[in-house]
Amino acid sequence: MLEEWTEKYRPKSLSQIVGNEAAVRALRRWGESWEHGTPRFKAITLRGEPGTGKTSAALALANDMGWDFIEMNASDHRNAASIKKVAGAGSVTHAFSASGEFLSAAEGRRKLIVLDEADNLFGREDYGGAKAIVETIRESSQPIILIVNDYYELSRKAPAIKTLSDKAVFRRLDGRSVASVLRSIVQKEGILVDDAVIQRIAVNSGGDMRAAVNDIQMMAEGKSALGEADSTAMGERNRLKEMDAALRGMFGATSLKDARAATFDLDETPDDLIKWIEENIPQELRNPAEMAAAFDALARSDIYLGRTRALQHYGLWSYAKELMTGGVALARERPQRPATVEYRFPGHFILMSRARGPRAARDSVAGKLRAHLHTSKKCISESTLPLLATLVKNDRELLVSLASEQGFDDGDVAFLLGEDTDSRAVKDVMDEVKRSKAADDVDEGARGQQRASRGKKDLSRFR
Amino acid sequence: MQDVWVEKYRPKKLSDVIGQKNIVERLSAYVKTRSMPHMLFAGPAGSGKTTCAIALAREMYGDGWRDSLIELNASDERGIDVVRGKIKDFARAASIGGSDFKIIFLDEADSLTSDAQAALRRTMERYTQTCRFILSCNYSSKIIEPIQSRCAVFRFRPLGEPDVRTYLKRIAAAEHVEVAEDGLAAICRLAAGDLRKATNILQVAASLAKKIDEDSIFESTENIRPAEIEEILKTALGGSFTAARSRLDDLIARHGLSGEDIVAGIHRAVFDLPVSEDAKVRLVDRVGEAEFRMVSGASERIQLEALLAHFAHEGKRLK
Repeated sequence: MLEEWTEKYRPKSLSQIVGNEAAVRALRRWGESWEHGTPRFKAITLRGEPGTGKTSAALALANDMGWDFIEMNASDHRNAASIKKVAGAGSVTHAFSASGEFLSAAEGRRKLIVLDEADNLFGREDYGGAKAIVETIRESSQPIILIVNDYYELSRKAPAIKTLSDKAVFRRLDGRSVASVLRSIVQKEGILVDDAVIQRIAVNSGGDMRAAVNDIQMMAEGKSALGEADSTAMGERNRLKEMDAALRGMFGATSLKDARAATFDLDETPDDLIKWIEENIPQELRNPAEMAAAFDALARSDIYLGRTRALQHYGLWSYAKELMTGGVALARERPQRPATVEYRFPGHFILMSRARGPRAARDSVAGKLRAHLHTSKKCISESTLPLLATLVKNDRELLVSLASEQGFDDGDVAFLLGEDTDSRAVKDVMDEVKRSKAADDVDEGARGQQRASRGKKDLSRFR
Repeated sequence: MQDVWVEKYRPKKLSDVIGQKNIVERLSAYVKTRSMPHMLFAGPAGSGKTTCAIALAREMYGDGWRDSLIELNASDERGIDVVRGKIKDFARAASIGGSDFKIIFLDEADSLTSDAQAALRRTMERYTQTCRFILSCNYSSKIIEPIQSRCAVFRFRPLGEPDVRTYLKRIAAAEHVEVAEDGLAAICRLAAGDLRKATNILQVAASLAKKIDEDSIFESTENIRPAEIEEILKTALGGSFTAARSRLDDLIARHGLSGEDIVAGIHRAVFDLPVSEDAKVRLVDRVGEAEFRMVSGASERIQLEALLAHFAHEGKRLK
């Protein structure tokens, strides 16, 4: 009785998976390629947002193929050693059952290795984890599935994965697919559920099947019937819909009090709320004078947000909220509003997620140079990196020397050169780094010291 | 028994929880079926998140509830090592006391770093057999999406005035203190939907007098009465800066109030002043500026004077 429905109704076979036909087909094809010896791609990367069915598909495939599986994830310490210990043992000697028990190699079944959250290889603590994954794929004689939310993050840390693994992309499910799964679940549970509730949960989930199944279990379990009124305790997962009502109330307000009250119940921090308002001022206030006044109020509000952060004095938040709501709403001069307004999702959030890759690369390089340059990551990011990027494009020797001294990986070099991680230029530099390291091994000592002092001299002018 | 009233009167049964009717109803159903999903409680301070978690555990496990509920505060221990170490150890150990699973209540989960949250998400799935998580936070957006997806999300709304009043009356009756109507109104105004704050105000006021009214509330909490502030602001709006200032001086001397207390009082009063809405926005900005400068170390008196001068100036525009 304590079972979670997300587990209880997890599809047992690929044929039971709803939606994502293309991804499921690709996965099945990859699985079947193992029937005739070791295929070209020993690994496949399943990419997609939460609740789109990646883990379910991996488990269903193992079931369909009659494979055992071993699962690892980010809550295990995922350094190089532990990945090799678990995956290496499982893949090379066929020695673990699904529960991790030792099996004799004679039992001969294939063992699927599932590396969940493969994009979550944390900074220093999981050092070497990415490399270990690549090596595991190369050495493995067993199928490997990598599961990621953020493909970019993984391919940046381990660019070789692009060439070593097949891939399948899971997309958010449409409301109809989600609703059909919910209907079949409640039918099996013998609960009578109003279809309006099913629809509401399906839409609210934003295509996240796990969220939808959790929601329906939360509302329906233990009941024999579920009507519309029961669904109001549910937290809104779909931000746009909830924001829509709040923004409409706020922009339509004619008093400071009402404008503030319209957003009072929202589950958004002022720092997030201001981005929604910022994005949508031009939708509501279309003449230049109004827009200028509105943005002026928003700018004042932003100052209070900055002050709140700087002083850690949350008393100032209320001024920020009042100026971003009331200040903006009251910038309207003419009483009539545009007939129809479609509110938009803040461009800022989209930009931020797009910039996440480059930002991570920049942080990585800055972090590696920090000790060498005796200064902060922030200072390096802001003033040193732009200069360094220009410099290394013209001075390859400097780049190779830095890369080998400071332990740059392909992603770091690619960032400095402004190239793709798997480009020719990056590969050449990394090869040269490897050669120079090999040379070092032969002639350790004097040369190493010489080179170290050279690195320091070259960079001292950036400080 | 002498105790802090917040604890003494924390509802022990779900049915005694104030407000949050829909949430309480769902939680009671979990008790009946003896099953529950992972949950995320999102809502402002004093809206009942911790209370609901504890009441749920009490009803689920009976007298031995303390063995089956583990409370952790994420803002005390927020690194990834805690998730990988402490939380995982708790989660992994089978529950004691005969129940099928135990509950880990992780308060202020939004203060966990995002790396720690990422590690937490898998722990949640893996140890479903032995435990359930209840995470609490002020804003759900501070919790990474994969965790939200694994939880039933409950939104706790700030409590309305009738709910706050009900609760205060319940305590007053049990403690044999008499609270006048204007006393209740004053507490509600100061607490702004935060039940913990309201309870604390009541206890402090009751420690000074057994009969509580507006005056004793404002006196015990070192707040000015709204009427007094309003009068000063109206004097300033009327153009008499010096008169307003000397009344303010008088107030400060009489009550020993800090500049921040007064600014907070002025802030609350702005919304009901007889000025245009545009003027209110300008004044709120001025009040915020004064608070910011005081917090940054400026002289309280000069900032308050400058503020009053702005009110006088705004008053002149009115004419």
